[in-house]
Amino acid sequence: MAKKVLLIDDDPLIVRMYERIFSFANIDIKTSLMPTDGLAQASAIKPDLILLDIMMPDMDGLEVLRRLKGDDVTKAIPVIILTNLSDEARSKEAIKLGAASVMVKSDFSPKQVVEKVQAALGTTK
Amino acid sequence: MVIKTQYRVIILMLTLLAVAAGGLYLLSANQKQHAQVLYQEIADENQRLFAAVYRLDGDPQATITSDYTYWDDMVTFTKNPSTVANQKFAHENLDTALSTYSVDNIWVFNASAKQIYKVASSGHANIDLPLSTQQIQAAFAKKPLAHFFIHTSQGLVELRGATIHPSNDPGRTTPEQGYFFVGRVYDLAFRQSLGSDLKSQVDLAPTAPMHLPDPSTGTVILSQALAGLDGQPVSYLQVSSDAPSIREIYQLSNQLLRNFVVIVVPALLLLFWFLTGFVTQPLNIISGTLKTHDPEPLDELEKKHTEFGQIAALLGDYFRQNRIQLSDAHARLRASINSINIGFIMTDVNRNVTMVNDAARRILFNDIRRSREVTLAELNQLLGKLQLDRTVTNSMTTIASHSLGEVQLGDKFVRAFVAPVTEVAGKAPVLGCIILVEDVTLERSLKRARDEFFSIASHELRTPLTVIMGNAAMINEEIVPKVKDDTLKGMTKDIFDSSQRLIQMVNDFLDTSRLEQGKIKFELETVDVAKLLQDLVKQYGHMAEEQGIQLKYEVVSGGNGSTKVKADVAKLQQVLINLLSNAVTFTHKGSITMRLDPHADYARIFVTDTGEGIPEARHHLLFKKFQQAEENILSRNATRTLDPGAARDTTHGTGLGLYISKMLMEGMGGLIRLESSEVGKGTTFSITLPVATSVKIKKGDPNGKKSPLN
Repeated sequence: MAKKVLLIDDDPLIVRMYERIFSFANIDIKTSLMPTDGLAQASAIKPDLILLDIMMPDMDGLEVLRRLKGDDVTKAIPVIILTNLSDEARSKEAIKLGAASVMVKSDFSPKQVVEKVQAALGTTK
Repeated sequence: MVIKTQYRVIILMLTLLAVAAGGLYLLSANQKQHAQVLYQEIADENQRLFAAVYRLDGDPQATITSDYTYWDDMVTFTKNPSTVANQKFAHENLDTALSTYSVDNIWVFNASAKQIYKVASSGHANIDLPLSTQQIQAAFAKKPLAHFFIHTSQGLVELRGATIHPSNDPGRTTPEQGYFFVGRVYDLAFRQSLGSDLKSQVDLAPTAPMHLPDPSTGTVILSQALAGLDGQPVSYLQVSSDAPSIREIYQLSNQLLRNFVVIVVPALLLLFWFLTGFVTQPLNIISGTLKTHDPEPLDELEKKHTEFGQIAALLGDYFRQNRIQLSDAHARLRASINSINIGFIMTDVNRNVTMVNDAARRILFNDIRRSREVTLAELNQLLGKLQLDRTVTNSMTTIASHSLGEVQLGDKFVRAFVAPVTEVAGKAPVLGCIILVEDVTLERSLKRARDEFFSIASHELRTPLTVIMGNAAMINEEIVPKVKDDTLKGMTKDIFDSSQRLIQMVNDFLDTSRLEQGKIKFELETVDVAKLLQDLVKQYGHMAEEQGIQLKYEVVSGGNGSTKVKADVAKLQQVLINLLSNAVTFTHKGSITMRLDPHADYARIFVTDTGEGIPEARHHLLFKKFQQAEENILSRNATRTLDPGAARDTTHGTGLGLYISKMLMEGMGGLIRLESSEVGKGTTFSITLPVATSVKIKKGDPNGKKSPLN
């Protein structure tokens, strides 16, 4: 059974890029460009893993994370923060809020991101 | 030591006065002694004279007392005085004896000491002798003759008495037949007659004089005790004679003293006044001006037609001229200091604030009134953590400048700097201290704005770059293997490489800006640097081998220190990777060696390559930000170059790699430096870190253990 991954990121270019690489890797990827929509989808489809951006309009990624972890339906879903904001303080806060790990987009090629997600999914099986 | 002329004059005056007074004293003492000798001489002479006169006077009485008592008729008379014959005897012999012997009274007593006859000379009362029987018997108890004085109603009477015996008993050995007395009254007439003989005044005094009379009166007094019946003085005869020569001596002495007071003292005072007025005062004024450089007090003196007046005029001209020039220069300097935009505060060596310019008042107090008093204590409190007070003291003791850093004052940021003021740069004596304060608010906000802009821009840049790089990578991995066109393959590879390089540059900018803003936190933990280096060899060994370079790791033999250091492992890794990738980039053949040199309190890692080497002229630029840019600023005509060798920078352009490494190393309490580099032979960099167990050594702590990290 294919694993389901939800990507919440406001940038369509980023979203499209990750859609491609995940489809190459045969991972079912759902995307959301809006934080509120992302939250809704997370409880609706119950993905196996969530990739979450931090800098987003309307709602900060950390707030999204807080809500995911505050909701009984979604709190067990591992969340990997995928951001371009290399801010140590916020990375730490994300980990504190329950994120599995923090990845800086520019430091990892799409393939490396996929490998990391696969590793995470493997450990959560 | 300078003794003021004024004091010298005073000392001279006092000495003169003392000498004059001393001379006068000696003279006076000498005269007194002389007067005393003279007095004694006169007294002795008087004594002699008195004794002679007194004896002459007393002789007839002695004779009559002696002669009359050997007379047989007298014996008969005492037995029965009332017979006619005896009465006749008395009248014919005794009454006439008064004038013959010039005595005043005669008394005769019988053997029972009863008065049987009395007679007095004319002018004297014929009184009874006021002596009792017992007194008379007592007077002759031991000897037949008596001479003593008694007080009577007539006054003091000199008595001479003898026992009466028959003429055949000249030794007065038989029992006395009666007693015979003659008396002389020491009345005024007698005393005057005695006085005229002695050329003196003769008085009676009830007691002896208590002390010698004041010789200065010129009176010489001789006192003669007059013994009573019991031998004790009943009165004193006082003979006063006039000695004008003694009086003259004293008069002369007094005259001398008067003359001294009237003539010498005023003369000395006059001399003193003259010396002060014409010599010491002008000298004081002149020396005062020489000290203060103030020509004002010379004004009066300059008008005088004396040598001092001339000197004063010359000095006055000189100092007035000087003062104009000086005040001109001073005013210009003051105006200049007040005009500059940097706060300028000056203290003297006792830390009193002597000058505060307008900028300093504006920056520190928002108050440019020059009347406002400023103290160092106040400044110290105002600048708080900059510890101005301590630094000022320190600066003056060590004769060194100190930058105090920045502090926030309300809505301002102020930077301060302290420097000692010396006559010769860097050498004692220290004259004071200068405190410079600068308003760096604008500078700071500009820098902050720039840094923030830079940081945000970099973030924004990274997103599209990530997309370009990500897609290029996917094309490379997924599409390119299926494509046969080599041109397209090359193009996509170039896109990927460029995007990677661009991201690295943006990352460097971001790192730099965040390091400079202090936004990067260092988490120090114990890191086994030996294991870290071994891991790096494993990780990058094959990458180096692909380029035909050997990556080696070794430990300096004999090193028994710890390999466990205190560091932020991710940052240490970043620094080492930067050094390694630099080495790989600039080494075309040979090897790269990472050598660990552990010591007791620090560990050092040498990264040595056998590559191109760095020209010595560029060594000093290595750890600077944007080396290429600096190179161009320093040398206007230098060709603008992005030659990576120039900066030894693998990011091919930013030149930030070593700058970041340096900040990272310093941030975790270590250091990085270029050990050696020679063109064509290779380069060695080293990094040093404190070992985990060593006591943390504060940067710049002078009491800290000497360590290569300081």
